[in-house]
Amino acid sequence: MIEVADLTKEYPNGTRANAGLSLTVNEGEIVGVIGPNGAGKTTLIRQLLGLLKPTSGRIRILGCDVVSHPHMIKGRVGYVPQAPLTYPSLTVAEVISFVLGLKGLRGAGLRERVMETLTLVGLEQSAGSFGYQLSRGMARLVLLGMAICQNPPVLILDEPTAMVDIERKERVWHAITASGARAVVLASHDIHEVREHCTRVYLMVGGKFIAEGPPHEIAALTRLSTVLTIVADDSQRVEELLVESGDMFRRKGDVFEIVFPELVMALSRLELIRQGIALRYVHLEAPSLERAVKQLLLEGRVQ
Amino acid sequence: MKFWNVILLELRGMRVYKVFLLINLVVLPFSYAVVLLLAGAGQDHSYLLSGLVVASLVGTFVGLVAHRVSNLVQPEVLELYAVLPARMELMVVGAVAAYALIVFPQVGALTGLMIGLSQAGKEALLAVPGTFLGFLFLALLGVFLGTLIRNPYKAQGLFPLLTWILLLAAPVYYQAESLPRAYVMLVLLNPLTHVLNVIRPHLGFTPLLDIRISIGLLVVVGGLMGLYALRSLRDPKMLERFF
Repeated sequence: MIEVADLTKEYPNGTRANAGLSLTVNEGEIVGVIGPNGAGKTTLIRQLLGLLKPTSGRIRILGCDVVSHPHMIKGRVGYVPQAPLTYPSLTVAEVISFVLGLKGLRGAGLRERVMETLTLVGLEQSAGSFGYQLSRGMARLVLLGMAICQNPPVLILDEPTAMVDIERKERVWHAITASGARAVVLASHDIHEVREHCTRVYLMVGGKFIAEGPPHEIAALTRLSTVLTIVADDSQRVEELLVESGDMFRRKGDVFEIVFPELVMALSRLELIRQGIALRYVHLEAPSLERAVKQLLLEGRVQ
Repeated sequence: MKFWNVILLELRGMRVYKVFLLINLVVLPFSYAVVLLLAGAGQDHSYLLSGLVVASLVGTFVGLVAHRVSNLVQPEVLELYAVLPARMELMVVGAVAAYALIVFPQVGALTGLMIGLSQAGKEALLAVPGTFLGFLFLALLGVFLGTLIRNPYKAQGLFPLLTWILLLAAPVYYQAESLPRAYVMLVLLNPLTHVLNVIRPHLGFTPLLDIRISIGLLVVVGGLMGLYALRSLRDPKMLERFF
């Protein structure tokens, strides 16, 4: 669906925004691009949108070359920008109507599709709200509505859930999966979101991909420890037990974060604690994707 | 239909600026008109009124168009519109058409007043095509400035300054004939002088320059500005120049 091959962008002032990027998104995939600010994600997105000419390399979307046919993406690619753009004096329903009107929809068909879209993104109660009345999170949902109302086969999402509340985040992902898009590129800083929804992840730093694969493989790329987080009824006893066992741990109030070199050790320690102390909260991450990403980004920066 | 859709978007987009528009399109220009009529008692009012028509167009129409175009071509908005089923040139032409509709009653009323009060009689009606040419030129000026500046925040500071310079260095509310030759040469460099020069001779005033030269200059300069804007807007790689 999307094929990027050996993409390089060098600006006239010599700044190299990305170098030798290769990325594929197959049918049915949600592919995440993670990286710190300035890693080159925006440049990559602008290249995918046909707004920046690559210095070298190739971008094909739905089999068509984006560099030589930049307008091909109109109506075929849906895009949610990072900036929470709004139309201050247009209602939410009018914004969606505008996009659908450009597609040629009229009358009852248009109204029906507007309501479908608003329901999908969870804005049906805000159909009559003006842009200036929306929170940033809601503005982002309108942008998502603008993208998916066109039924594009490809979606490019630049932090689609930033500033969106927890309840609506689920709605956003429901809308994305129900939109009928056959390929999704997600640029995000939200590791949890990436882990939960992406089939594959590209890790970007300094304009290059430094790792690629399913989230669990990315996490396994580093020899990172397993982290057990617990909250117990009797924190004092837990601390005594951990000190006695010689475990590496950190305590923040009643929350204990214990680090083990291997998963099996974490499980046996958890079992030991549970035998004598009631636990109120348990979280086990083995290995932690977030830590793996941090580690890989650090290594990527050093290189 | 796409075009009408864009015009509708722009007109609806003006809803939150109702008071701004009422003041700038009705209250201020017609207050100035009253002042000009009172101040110029016994004179041919059409001279100052023609100046007011052009000054109002520069102050409102050019400003609105330039701001909107600079907003449309800022990077975030370009990204958003890259995937919408409308090309940027359609969005810009739609915006110009919408703003033309908004300012039309004001320009029409002031032009009617200008012609009605002219001492040139029926000949004054020939000022209408000149006003229309000036209107087209100023629309192209707005689009050109918007595509050139490309940053609505910079535009907010630059456009009022540019408007002030353009209005000051043109015989909008004063007569240039009696001024030093060097200053006349300076005002002739200002396109607003030529906009006025294609209107005023039909109202019975002596042209500063052969009217055909002014028409030619407006057509050529307007055409060049339009070509620049069209080239910029048609170039899908518009973000290249930001770096």
